[in-house]
Amino acid sequence: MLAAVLGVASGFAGCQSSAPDGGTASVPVLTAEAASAAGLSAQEAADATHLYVAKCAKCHKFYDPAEYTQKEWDMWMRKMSRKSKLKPAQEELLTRYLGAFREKPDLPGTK
Amino acid sequence: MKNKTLNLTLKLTRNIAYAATLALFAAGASANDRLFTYSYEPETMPQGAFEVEQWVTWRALRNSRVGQDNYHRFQFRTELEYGVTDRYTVGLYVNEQYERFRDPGTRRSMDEFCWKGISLENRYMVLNPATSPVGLTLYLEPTYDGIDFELEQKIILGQRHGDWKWAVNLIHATEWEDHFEETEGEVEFTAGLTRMIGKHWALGVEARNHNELPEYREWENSALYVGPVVSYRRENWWATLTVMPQVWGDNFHGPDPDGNRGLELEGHERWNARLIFGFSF
Repeated sequence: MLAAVLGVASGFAGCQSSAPDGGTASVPVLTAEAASAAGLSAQEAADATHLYVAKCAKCHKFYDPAEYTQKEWDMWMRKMSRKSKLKPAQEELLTRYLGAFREKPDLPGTK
Repeated sequence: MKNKTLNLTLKLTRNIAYAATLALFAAGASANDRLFTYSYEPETMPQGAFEVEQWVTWRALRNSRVGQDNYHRFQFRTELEYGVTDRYTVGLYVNEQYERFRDPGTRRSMDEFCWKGISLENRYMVLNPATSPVGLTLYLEPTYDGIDFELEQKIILGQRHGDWKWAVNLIHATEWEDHFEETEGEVEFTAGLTRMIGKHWALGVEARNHNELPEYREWENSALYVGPVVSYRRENWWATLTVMPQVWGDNFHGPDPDGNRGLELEGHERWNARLIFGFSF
């Protein structure tokens, strides 16, 4: 049974998809240009990516903000910030980071 | 006898009422859902998050050859979990058990409600599934009830693939019984595969293979369970149920004690089912 289970597991591991620019499917990468356009410094973009991995991508797939209205997205940001115990500064940074994807839905790494 | 039965009924009622109270208490909180009941997933809780879980495990039906007709065991666990960091989660369990069966030799029914001690769960996420091909978490849980002491270790693997999720657990436990007079080893493999269906539901299959090694001198028995798992989640709470019949079992020492060639009914049951409610805040 273990062999069968590990076989299935390794098969799935082999299916792990990657974003075109190197990010995994659940952690899209924001380009420097897009980050800059959203008013994020390089350090802020790096911090936000780290935060996104630790607080969001650990538990769920990437949800493209462009597929939600601003009102819906704000509601989900509030709910998920509560759930993942984000501090106000962390919530503000992640909101700006994910907002960059929302503003530029054709950014590489979001599909 | 009537008084004893009444006491047991009161204790069971108390446990159910306790679980219901917890549900109401936590109703305004956020959730950290599990999609399997026998297999852990590698994700740990967010730092600073609390969760209460109420477990009920039903183990049913052995046979008259092992002196346990109409066998039922209910195991209750109430857990308070806390995210110490984003990678490290601790949990404190309170364990109780109700066991009932009929001895065909004496034709007497036995039932017992007993305290099964407290457990301290430690889970540390080594590889985040979001950034690794496979998520990896290590688990260590001591349990003590004043007479018996158990130390359980798990290697937890898992990953998400779109709407699909799988988990595999490799488990070893040592139980020192009767004030460290006797030792029993247990080796267990669990696995689960499930698919999200819409926002709230997930449906999949879960399997468990459990092996007993008394005193680590012999491999006494093995049993394999396979069955469906269904999970339902809301923003603040979740519930997951697994129902598994024993599909194969064997006893490896001496004459077959249960007289059943296809199943192992001395240390295991025909049916295992587990229901877990979780409430976060």
